[in-house]
Amino acid sequence: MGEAVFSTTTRWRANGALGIGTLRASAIATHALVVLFVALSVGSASAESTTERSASILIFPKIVYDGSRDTFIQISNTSNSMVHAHCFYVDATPLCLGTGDCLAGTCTGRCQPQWQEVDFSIWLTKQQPTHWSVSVGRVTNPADPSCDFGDPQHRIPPNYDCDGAGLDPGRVPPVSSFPFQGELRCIEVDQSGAPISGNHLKGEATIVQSNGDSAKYNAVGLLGEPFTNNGDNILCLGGGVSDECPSGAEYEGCGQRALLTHFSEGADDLIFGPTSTVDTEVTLVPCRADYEGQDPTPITIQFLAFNEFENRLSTSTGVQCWRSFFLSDVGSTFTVQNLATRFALTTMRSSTGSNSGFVGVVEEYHHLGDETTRAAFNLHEEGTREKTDLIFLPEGP
Amino acid sequence: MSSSALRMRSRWSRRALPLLALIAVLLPSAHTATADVASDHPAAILVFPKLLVDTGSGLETLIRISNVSESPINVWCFYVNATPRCTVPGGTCFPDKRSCSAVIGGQTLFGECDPQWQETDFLFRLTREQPTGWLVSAGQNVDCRLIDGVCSNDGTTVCDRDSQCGVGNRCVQPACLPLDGGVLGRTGPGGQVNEGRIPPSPDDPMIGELKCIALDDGQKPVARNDLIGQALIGRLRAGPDETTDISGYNAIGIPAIPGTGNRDSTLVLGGSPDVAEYEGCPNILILDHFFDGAVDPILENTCLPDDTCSIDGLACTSTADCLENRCINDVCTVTGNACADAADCANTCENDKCTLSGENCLNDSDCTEPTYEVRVATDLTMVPCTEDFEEQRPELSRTTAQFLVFNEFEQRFSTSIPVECFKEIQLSAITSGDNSRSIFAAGVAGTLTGQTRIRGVENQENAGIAGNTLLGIAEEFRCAGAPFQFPVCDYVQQPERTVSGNAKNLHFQGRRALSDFIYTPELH
Repeated sequence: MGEAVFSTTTRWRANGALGIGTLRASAIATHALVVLFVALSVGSASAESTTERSASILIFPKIVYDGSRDTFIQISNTSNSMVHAHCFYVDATPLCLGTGDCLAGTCTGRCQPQWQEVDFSIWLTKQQPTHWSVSVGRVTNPADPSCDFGDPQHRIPPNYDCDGAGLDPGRVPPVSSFPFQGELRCIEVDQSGAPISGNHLKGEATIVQSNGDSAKYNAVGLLGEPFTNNGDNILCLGGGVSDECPSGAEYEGCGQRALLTHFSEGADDLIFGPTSTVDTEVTLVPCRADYEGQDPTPITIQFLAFNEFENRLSTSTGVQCWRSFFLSDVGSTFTVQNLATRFALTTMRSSTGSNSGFVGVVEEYHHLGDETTRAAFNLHEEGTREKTDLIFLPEGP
Repeated sequence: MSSSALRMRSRWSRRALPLLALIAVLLPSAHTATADVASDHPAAILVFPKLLVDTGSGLETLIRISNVSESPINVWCFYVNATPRCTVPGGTCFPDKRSCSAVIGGQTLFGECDPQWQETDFLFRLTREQPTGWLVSAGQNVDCRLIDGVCSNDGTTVCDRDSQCGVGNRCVQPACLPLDGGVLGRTGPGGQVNEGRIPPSPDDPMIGELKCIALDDGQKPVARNDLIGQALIGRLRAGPDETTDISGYNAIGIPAIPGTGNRDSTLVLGGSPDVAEYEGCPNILILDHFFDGAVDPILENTCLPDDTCSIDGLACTSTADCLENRCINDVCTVTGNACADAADCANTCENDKCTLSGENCLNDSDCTEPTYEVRVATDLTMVPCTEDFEEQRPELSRTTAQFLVFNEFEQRFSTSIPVECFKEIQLSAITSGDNSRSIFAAGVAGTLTGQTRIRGVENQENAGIAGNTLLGIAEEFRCAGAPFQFPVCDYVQQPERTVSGNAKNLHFQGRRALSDFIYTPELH
């Protein structure tokens, strides 16, 4: 039995693709449908974000490109029809008002936060996978050489270097700055560029260190609701009917709280022995995004940490648009001296006054002597936010 | 109003009524649906598809499990030891699963590797919101007060408190469950205590699976979706060229459906809503991967300002040194063969064969340069959702995994392989003995990456006793070598070529009409 996948073949555009009169004429049926679907979606509010199901919005919370790291993106269409997606890099690299580099700590002036989006489109044929590294993007070149088995008997060497071979998904730009840190978000759209709830996209990111070390995570997916997506430029994640969301939630909402089992900061890794240490870097992005007005979303994250003695500690920190931080940066709460046990369970939630939920990933850095190796994990989530988070897309042509 | 608009209205109204009826039908079922099998949400059953232990070569798996609820929970776990067993006493099938040998009475006897699926179960209790973690090779007990630690600064000085290790250092204990209770013991703020014991892995070396089930206070499976877990597989190569590598994945969670079933010793996963006690396993697993052998487009072994190569760490004066197959300490740096001088590391044409690559040749220019490159290989681990821990019936778990492989040209290939209780295999080893000729090899598929859909074939003869769905994870390894050396590296095979590994959870699609079952032994 296959997965039921709904696709909106009839959309309601803000300017009334079906015609105002038509909508008015079917007002009763439409209203009943909307009410029923809103009730349905609220009542069944079970699915939160997913890292394992095909979705309509993919969020890669951590994209880095600097002197030692690059990020390799993989996105696939899991359906048997053509899929289009509109993607946004969000550059959260602080801008150095002077000379030097804020990330390297060499900026001679002030480091000004920035959140600059660059968008592009990709399209994928049935079941097509594609990839690019964010340092160079992907050019459209049908002549890219394919990998080839070769023919050893006839002295034709094999070729296993085939980056770029395949049906190009369109021109994918490189990230807009060097160094770069930020996020990538891709939204499934139809041929006209209007958002749809196809749930056909999956993705992964691999952060590759120049010394060969690598860490991989799945993109966070937000499922599109099958019938409520009106295809306008305001995407409604979770919640109910409002002025911006006349048909209620168009996509599943972000999680109510994130769960993370981790090493206390500075604790030893049992695998690498008592002289090793582990640090955990958390990257969080608000679900709300305003690509039209470039209005960054500030949220406050509330942490509750439990050690192995069942003792509870709490703290909080701010995230504006994008933030990557070690748990020890939040304060001494997460240090092994404070937590006093090797492992801790931490829950994270947006404060009640925050205007958005969030998604994220974690990367663990395991140190032994001069060696450092990393592993990435998707966060666990629990519950769905009751409030709506909005994504404002730029106006199209 | 135009006639076309009228027609549209009429069509719309005609469509709306059946649609409303459809919603009315769907509404109750949508309300009863709770959650999918997933690795990013708490659940009542956790599946860790791959554990790997070989302490002799520095391989180890660390398990982390947390109770995310405010009530204590009992956890019942099963190690499934899938390490092939050598037919010759004293022989080992690790790392080579195909054959084994042992020296008996001064004579080397060769044997075969028989599959095994031996479960070892154990119980422990986590208090509210409590995390824990242990090494699979070592396990852990409720005995923190009784075991010594060592100081973090030197790793050897025995201690039982931080103050014995000097300022800024810690006394590091082995893993243990700390809330031991009793008069002199420690309890949680609510008076809760840990119980139970986690044994070490039944074998070392061992490869296998871990499955954990939430139990109530009466030690019966319970519909509490309160467990999350992670596995870290690490490699430590000790010695002067000490290297470390780690990869991690989230345990796959199977949520219980509250208010259903009797949760006796047969746990029903999915299928008809009348019988399902837990959510069903996915119909299809989806894996995005590099095709095996593809050159990593990011990594280059370059000479750094500190005169070391970025990946292999060897001394250099220019990047050419990092790419060249040099003879250092009697070993060629790229191809790994023994050498006496630089000539042994050159791929030259002798008697119409290239000395290192074995290619046919007429002269040296026909031989591929043995330059350093990093290529990618992917290991896939699959475990069946149905497992019989009571009667040990592997035939219930036996299925055929069907693979549909799509390259970036949208071209489709397919193949299949039998899966019994546990299958760990490199993608390009699925189809043939020569990995380079596999449909999972980049040279055959033609593109750098692909998407593979994996489906356990339904066996209708097993309907009502097994559903034949699969769960799994993938590990991606970056292997160093020359262009003519097809990468078959991972933590076990050719570990000296393994630059790094990472692990990832697979994507899921759909559900299956048939139920899967976990048959547990009687606890009482």
